[in-house]
Amino acid sequence: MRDIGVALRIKYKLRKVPTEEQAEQWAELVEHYRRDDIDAEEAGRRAAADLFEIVDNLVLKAEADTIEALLEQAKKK
Amino acid sequence: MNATATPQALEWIKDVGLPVVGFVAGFLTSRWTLSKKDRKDVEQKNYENTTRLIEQHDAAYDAYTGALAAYSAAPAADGGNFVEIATKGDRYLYQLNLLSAAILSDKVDPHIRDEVLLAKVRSAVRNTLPQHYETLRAIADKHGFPYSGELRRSDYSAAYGVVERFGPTPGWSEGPGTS
Repeated sequence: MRDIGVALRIKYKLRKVPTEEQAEQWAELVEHYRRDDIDAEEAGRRAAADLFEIVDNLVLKAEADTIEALLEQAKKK
Repeated sequence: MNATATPQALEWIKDVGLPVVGFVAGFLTSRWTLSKKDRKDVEQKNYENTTRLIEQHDAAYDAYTGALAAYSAAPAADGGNFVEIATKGDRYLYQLNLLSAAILSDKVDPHIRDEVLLAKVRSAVRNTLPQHYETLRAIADKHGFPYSGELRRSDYSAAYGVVERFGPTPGWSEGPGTS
């Protein structure tokens, strides 16, 4: 499940990789926003902003993030 | 000069001292400053250096991530896949250290350095270096592959040097790897 944390981090430029619990929390909050008729993208973004710290220039770190995700995957094998 | 200087001494300074000082100053100025054309040449050279380093870095990155993906995708990963990760990873990190050495010796384009390279080096030092060794160790232990690598700062002194000289990214002060 750490994969979703890494994916969330890359998509929303989060400072840290969310834990599994945090990711579930995020998913619940997204559902909550969606019930208020907010579209999926916006709901996801808003939930991430509510729960996590966002670092806007994180896009430059994509390389290390990709390696991190791949290393995690390899470790689990 | 002070008030005790004799007229002869003043004469000597005028005739010999000033020309010597002037010559030395002129010589040093020409050594330390570059003409406009020289400066443009250095800038162009640094730019070419930088793009070449980035090309090599990207190739090493592709090979490394390719080896990792191949390991994960292999139905039955064997020692060969593992060695691929270890060697391609070493190559990637070696390339990173080379890039860092070029940064430390001011042989790169300053804009590319600030906008692109520093972020690469910082996040690699903070995350990739420890994660690479940690993961190899974990895989080796789990599958019984022989592996004796460990993260030694001395192997990547240029990369650590860059983080020390330019500082870690603001907001990224926590986490392992910089000391």
